Amino acid sequence: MKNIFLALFLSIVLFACNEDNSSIEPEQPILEYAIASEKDEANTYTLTLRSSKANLHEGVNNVAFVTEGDTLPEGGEWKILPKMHMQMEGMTHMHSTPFLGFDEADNHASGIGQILFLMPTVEMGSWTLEVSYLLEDESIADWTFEIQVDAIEFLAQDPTFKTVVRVPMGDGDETLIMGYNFTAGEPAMGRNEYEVLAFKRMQAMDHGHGDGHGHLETYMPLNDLTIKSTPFMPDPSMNHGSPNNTDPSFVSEGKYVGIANFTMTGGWQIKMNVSEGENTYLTEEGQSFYTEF
Amino acid sequence: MLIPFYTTAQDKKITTYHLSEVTISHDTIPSENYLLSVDDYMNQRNDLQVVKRGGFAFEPIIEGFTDGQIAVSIDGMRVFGACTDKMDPATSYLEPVNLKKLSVLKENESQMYGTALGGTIMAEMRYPDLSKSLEVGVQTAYSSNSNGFDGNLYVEKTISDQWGIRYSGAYRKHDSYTDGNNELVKYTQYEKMNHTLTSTYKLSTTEKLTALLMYDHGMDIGYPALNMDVGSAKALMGNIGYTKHYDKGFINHLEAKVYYNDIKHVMDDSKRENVAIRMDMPGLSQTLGAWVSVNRKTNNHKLTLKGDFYSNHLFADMTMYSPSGGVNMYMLTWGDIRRNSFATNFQDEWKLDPRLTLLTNLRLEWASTNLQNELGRKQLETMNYFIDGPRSDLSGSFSALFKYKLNSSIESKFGISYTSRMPSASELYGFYLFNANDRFDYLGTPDLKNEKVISFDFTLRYHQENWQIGARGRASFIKDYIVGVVNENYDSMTSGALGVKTYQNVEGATSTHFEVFAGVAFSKQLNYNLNLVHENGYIDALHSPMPYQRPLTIKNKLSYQLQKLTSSFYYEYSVGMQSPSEALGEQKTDPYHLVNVDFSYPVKLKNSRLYLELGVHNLLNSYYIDPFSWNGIPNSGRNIKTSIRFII
Repeated sequence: MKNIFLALFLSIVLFACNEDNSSIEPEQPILEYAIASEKDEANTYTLTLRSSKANLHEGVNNVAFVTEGDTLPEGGEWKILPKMHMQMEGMTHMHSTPFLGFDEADNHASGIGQILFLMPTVEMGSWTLEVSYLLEDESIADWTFEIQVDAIEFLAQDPTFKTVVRVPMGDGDETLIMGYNFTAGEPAMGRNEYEVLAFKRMQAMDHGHGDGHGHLETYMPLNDLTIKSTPFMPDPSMNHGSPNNTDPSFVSEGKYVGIANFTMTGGWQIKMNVSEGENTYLTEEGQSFYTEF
Repeated sequence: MLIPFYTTAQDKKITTYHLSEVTISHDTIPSENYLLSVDDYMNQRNDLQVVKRGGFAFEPIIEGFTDGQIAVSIDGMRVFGACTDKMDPATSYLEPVNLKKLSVLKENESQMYGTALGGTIMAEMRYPDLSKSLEVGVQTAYSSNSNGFDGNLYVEKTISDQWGIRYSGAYRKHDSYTDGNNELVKYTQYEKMNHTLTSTYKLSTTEKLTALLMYDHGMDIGYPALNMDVGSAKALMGNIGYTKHYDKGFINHLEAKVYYNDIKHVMDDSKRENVAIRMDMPGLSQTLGAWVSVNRKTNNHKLTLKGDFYSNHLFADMTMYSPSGGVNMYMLTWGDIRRNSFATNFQDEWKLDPRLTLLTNLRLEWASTNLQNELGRKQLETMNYFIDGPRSDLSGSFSALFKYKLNSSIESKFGISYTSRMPSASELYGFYLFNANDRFDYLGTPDLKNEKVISFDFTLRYHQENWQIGARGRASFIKDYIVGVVNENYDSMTSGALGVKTYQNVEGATSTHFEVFAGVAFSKQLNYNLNLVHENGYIDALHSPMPYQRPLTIKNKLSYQLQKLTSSFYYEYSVGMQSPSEALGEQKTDPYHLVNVDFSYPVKLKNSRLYLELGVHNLLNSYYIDPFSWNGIPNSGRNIKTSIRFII
């Protein structure tokens, strides 16, 4: 099944290089900010993590990995693995996080993708991004980025205001994970196109103990959701919505695009009613996306 | 047995009657006596109504037409208020001590100053006339009800045969007033000052230059009918004029003026209790303009041609401070709206025969209006309006008025006019403008069409040496009437608002105006005047009366001169608002009786004059609500006003 590949089993994905190298122009960084640069383990290749924002943060991040200096051999594929290392009671627990994209990969760069960090870096937990470039299943280069993922903090104190929505899907261990991304980068007054990334998380068999490889949880893109949305200002002095919004609709694997109209700056919720067939996972009274600008 | 102290003629800037010894010019500000504020002065007129939102800055209404439907010209300048909530009509920046005349122009004459359905308010400032070497006047007054102080000062100096200057200043400070039940009407206080400098310079016996510089600053102005008050309202206005008379030649008179005015208006709720949210709401209006007018007289024609231009810029925004500690909110309510207007006006007074005169007027105006602010445009995208440039509008009017003198006692006038006016800035691009009267947020509609009206006007007057009686009627048929229509798809933004209205063109509306006027001079000392008015209007699409239609109101004034003591007795009766436009926020009001008495006594001093004045307004301490008062705010109760006026 096509979804199997996209399910990012074990949270590891291999991206085939695009034979057409013209998609990435090294002279023009594909994303504005360089977050970190690392040499591979053989100290041959330098890889830079780039992002559309100055810092990585909880929620959806637009990122790409771009080589600098020596060129990797053509025809390879990229492997990316985000990992959260949690220290609990003297043991290390690990889990991953979902991501999408990286479709325009070649031997210079991974192409742009979106990583949805489920949580920020915390005192007892840190994030790494493990990246490999493989040629015929042989590793050409391996990099490990130790990254800082910032928490998103709001002035409004409401536990249902989220950057990442997590709700159970029925009675099992599966969880609906959703994050948002404004296409223009930041929300603004006026008409805002935004993406909703939606995944089903399935628990790992061994809760991510040990070195983690092969036992992390699974994130499957969800493509059949029906999302009804209502942008809303929850501030008690406002308590109103906005007109002429468009509900997010499916555009590609795990991704939905909608329009949210923000009539002023301030704190805005995007309340959602999310269902899949007969199953309703989220109503507008529950968790919602939230942003302040 | 009646003499008018007023009437509303269509074709006269100054409505003046000469009856026996009595000469009363309704538009002329009483010379040297500037006791009344402009608000009081407008309120007492018969050809003008006012909307009251508190004790200051009354909004003028002409026969039910308001805001974008009327024009305001201050000393030849187009002036646009800077408040999205209409808290600062241009007239609020005036002071009588600066004014020579405040005229209400209707139909034909009104079009000279702007394309207006209802008419034009024209204020003429007082300039030095070079007839006196030095004159100084000082006046102070105290109002008992509002513990109010009014003071003004003017100095007029002729510096040379060619050059004269005049300075005038005014200061007013009033606390909140009490109503007829002796209850304090909170937030009716106000304070303001005004400084005006005018100058006349004669270039020759036929040419002169004039200049004006005026600064007006209102502070701590309460608006009980609204959610907010005004912390500061500043206006700076200036112009330079040129006039030339031609004894010979194709034209007889040329007049030109360039001007600029800048208004900054800051709303304030810091003195209000229990507000849902604190807000800052500043507004800005800047207007640059120029015009030139030429006149030509022949045996049977008086021709006037005028060309004018103005460029008006409006900006207003709102910052809302989250009461819950959340992020503050911001939006634009006027997103840098720029209107450039070019107009030409042609008028002819044609004496067809000794008894019949035809007055015609043609005005064409082209305007470009643009929402310039990118954020403002993005806001409108939320309403599915995508603004990518200015819109152009062609508007104007044509009118014809026949004046027929049947004999030496009977005069009649019949006029017809067609006017097409472009939508105002708020009607086009206003964004969530809260109207505290109907409690709806208003949204502009960028693709509105012009509002058009055909009006018929008829006046009949019969007069004898010492008395006269007359009547005037007007009927207006409005097409594409611009009005707020409830849009249930939109959420209101303002806390407590009932919903959202968007400005729309609706098919039809009609309005009528009827008045009777009469006056009599019993003797040189005693005269009496009467005015009765009733208006009606209906908006078909809303199944609602039109707003601001005056209920039956009768005004009487008896003036008596007893030796040096001048006294006047004023009595007004109104049936109250019986057919309110509830859809647009009006409410029923009760009938009321209002009595005012005024006395003035001159004291002769060497080389100077002193006047002692006393007025008791609302003598009966009636509790009453003006029919056009927003949200039922009662008028002031009894007020005793004393004044001393000293002139050198």
